[in-house]
Amino acid sequence: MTVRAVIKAPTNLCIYKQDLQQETYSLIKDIDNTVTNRGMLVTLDLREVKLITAAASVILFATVSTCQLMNKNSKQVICIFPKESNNPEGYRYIVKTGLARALHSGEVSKLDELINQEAFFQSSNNPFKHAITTSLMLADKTEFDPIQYELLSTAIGEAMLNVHHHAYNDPLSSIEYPKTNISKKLLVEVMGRRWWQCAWYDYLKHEWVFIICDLGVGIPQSLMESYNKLNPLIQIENKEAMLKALSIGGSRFNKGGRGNGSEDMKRAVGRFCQETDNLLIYSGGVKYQYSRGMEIPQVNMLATFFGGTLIEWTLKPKLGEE
Amino acid sequence: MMVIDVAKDFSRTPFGRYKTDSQFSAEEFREKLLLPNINSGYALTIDFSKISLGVGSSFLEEAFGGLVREGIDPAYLKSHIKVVDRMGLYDEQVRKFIETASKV
Repeated sequence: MTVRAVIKAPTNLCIYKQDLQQETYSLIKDIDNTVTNRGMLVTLDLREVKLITAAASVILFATVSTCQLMNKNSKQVICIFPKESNNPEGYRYIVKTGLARALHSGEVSKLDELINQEAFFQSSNNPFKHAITTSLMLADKTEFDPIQYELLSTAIGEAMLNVHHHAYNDPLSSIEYPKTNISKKLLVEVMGRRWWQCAWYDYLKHEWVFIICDLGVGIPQSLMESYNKLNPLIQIENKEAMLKALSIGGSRFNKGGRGNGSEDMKRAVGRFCQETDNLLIYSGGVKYQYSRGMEIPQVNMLATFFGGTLIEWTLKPKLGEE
Repeated sequence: MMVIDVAKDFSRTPFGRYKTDSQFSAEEFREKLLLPNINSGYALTIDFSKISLGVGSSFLEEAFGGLVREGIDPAYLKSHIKVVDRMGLYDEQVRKFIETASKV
């Protein structure tokens, strides 16, 4: 008989607040370690989760989905979900949002169904196809005005292309002839250059949150590795690398014409609400936050983090429109 | 004056930098539509206003910055093209990309 390790999730899963980060990342590491290093099946008990934020949801989706796809076993990780009768908050966050369904997708065909059915949680490795379906979904489900919609869909398309061109690649290889980063080779062989995403509507704040997350090398690491090799006398560290990568022309390539996608990502922010619209990026242990009008985005090092990149836009549709 | 209606003449969903990104990439667009028309001597309007999906910087840079890398004179290019879109953003972006490509 196969024994499953039971992992119990904490009550609150959140990577935004420092006091909750630790146990959120501990859960992620625990799942990954149990499956990848100990080779065990996992039952993830989410019954007592009262809060799971959008970013934590996507990281959990990416982790569980990776464990399932890499082991070619949709039951490699199975979850026990909260019930509406005894945990209505958890039920709302996990079941009603569609996260539960995403966590049990487990194979590529089921992940593709999430896309076809315009679920809020999706995963793909095809930027062209998926940029179109995501834009159609956003057009269908959000109430952005045409310009705001176009700015966001452009930003998302660039973010997806970045996953394809950069996230899993050797920083010293070209886009034209990409070489997969050695540490990501197995992931890419099995899952392609995959990302996980969600669109999330916060009814209380009247805000849309869109997140895209990959399990790649990380933006600062990618830039640092190429920059520091090309400029041996001027070494840069994570925070500086992150700022550099997300400024105009910032790119791991030491030639012009690259690194403009970050401007597309920023441009989507602040059309109607400069105070609350926000671009948040967690990558390689650095947190980057940008709001319109900021001369220098806020950049902080994180004590605990996940391996990969998460990009989150928080956008308010035109005020007064429902 | 010549007009390239991107949605009609190329695709409603232009996307990506290279042909490996999509069948409607900037590389394809440059080779198929820009290069054959750019040296006609006519002013060229490239109209993105009917596309369904906004194009990102990577598309615009590769399409127009790529012309400079293909050997088209940047000054000639800037004086002969006008880029139109629904947001009124692309023309300025394209001019910057041409400028940057000319400095490399």
